[in-house]
Amino acid sequence: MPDLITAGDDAEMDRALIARWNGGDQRAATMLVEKHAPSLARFVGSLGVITAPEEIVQDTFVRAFGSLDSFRGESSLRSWLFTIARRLVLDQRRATRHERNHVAIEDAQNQLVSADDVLDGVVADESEGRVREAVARLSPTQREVFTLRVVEGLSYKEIAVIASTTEGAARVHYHNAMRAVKEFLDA
Amino acid sequence: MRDMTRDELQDRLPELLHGRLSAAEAAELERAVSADPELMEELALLRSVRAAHRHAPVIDVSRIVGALPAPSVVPAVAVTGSGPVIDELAERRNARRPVISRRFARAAALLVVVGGGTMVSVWERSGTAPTPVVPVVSAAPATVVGSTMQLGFGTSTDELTVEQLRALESDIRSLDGVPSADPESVTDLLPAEGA
Repeated sequence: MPDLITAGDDAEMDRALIARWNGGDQRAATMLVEKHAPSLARFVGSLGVITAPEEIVQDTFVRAFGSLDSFRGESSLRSWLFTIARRLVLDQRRATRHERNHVAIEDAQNQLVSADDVLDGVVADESEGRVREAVARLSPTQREVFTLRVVEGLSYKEIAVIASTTEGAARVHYHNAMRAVKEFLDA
Repeated sequence: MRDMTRDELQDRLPELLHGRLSAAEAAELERAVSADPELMEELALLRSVRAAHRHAPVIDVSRIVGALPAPSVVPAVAVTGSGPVIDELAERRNARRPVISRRFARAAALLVVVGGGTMVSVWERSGTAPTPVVPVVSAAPATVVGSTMQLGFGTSTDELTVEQLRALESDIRSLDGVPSADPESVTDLLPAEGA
């Protein structure tokens, strides 16, 4: 289903929902949250947030909706939400640096799998577990770029905005991540 | 459409995966993938990565929506019959203007008082006008009159008579409420009478 929606249609749909919400239609807010919350939660998870990712997701929406009237639509709503979420994660990390609220790379795979198991009741099969482990072993930047590109389908341009980098750097991170994932799976 | 290089084809596989290519681009890329085992393998890997990460933590949408701020509803322009069009936003903007003007006036007045006070204080403490203002003169009156030293704010000593300069010197000395840390720096503006 999402495969049939182009990026342009997607952005247009968001703009229409924002206009409805600005006009006082609360259902538009529900639709926007339903549409973007899952990918935001995945993204927050890919950044290593294990403890209460839903709090980050909620804060992201609260901040975004608090300034939606200033949203000019120059970037997509989705990449704007991702940018806000990323900043919140970084702020949380700074605030709780000593609490080790995010996981070390080498521990990420087990915790990601167990967190999803708890939250979704989904037991990953062996091959999926290997793929997840390969991604979890990437450096934080590679994992962020790779996840945004492959799982969320964002362009290098969008990723560059979200990750505060350049398109060229995002491309390099993606290809390095792809090589690392292949090497891990082939080993 | 020009042919894509292999790197470009490889680079666009995520777009193919997410259906973000035009029909023509997708067809070209699919043809290339079907003819290239490496591209085929990479596309399969991308599919498996996406599938492995398809599950997101359960999010309570109603809780998030409940926490959202209320929308700042943009009021519709009211048109009633042949009556005037009332723009509520414009009215609100106009209603705020006097408040903004008063605030600006207060800030400007405060700036003048503080700035002026500081200047007077500095002047009094030093017992002289600001640096370029107090000329160090030891020459004859004719030299003083001919100098181009400024008293401040554009007033030249050229424009003052000897009497005015004496009066100014007297005024400056009378302002010296705080003892000078360097009494030797006090220099007569004019030579002593009869000199």
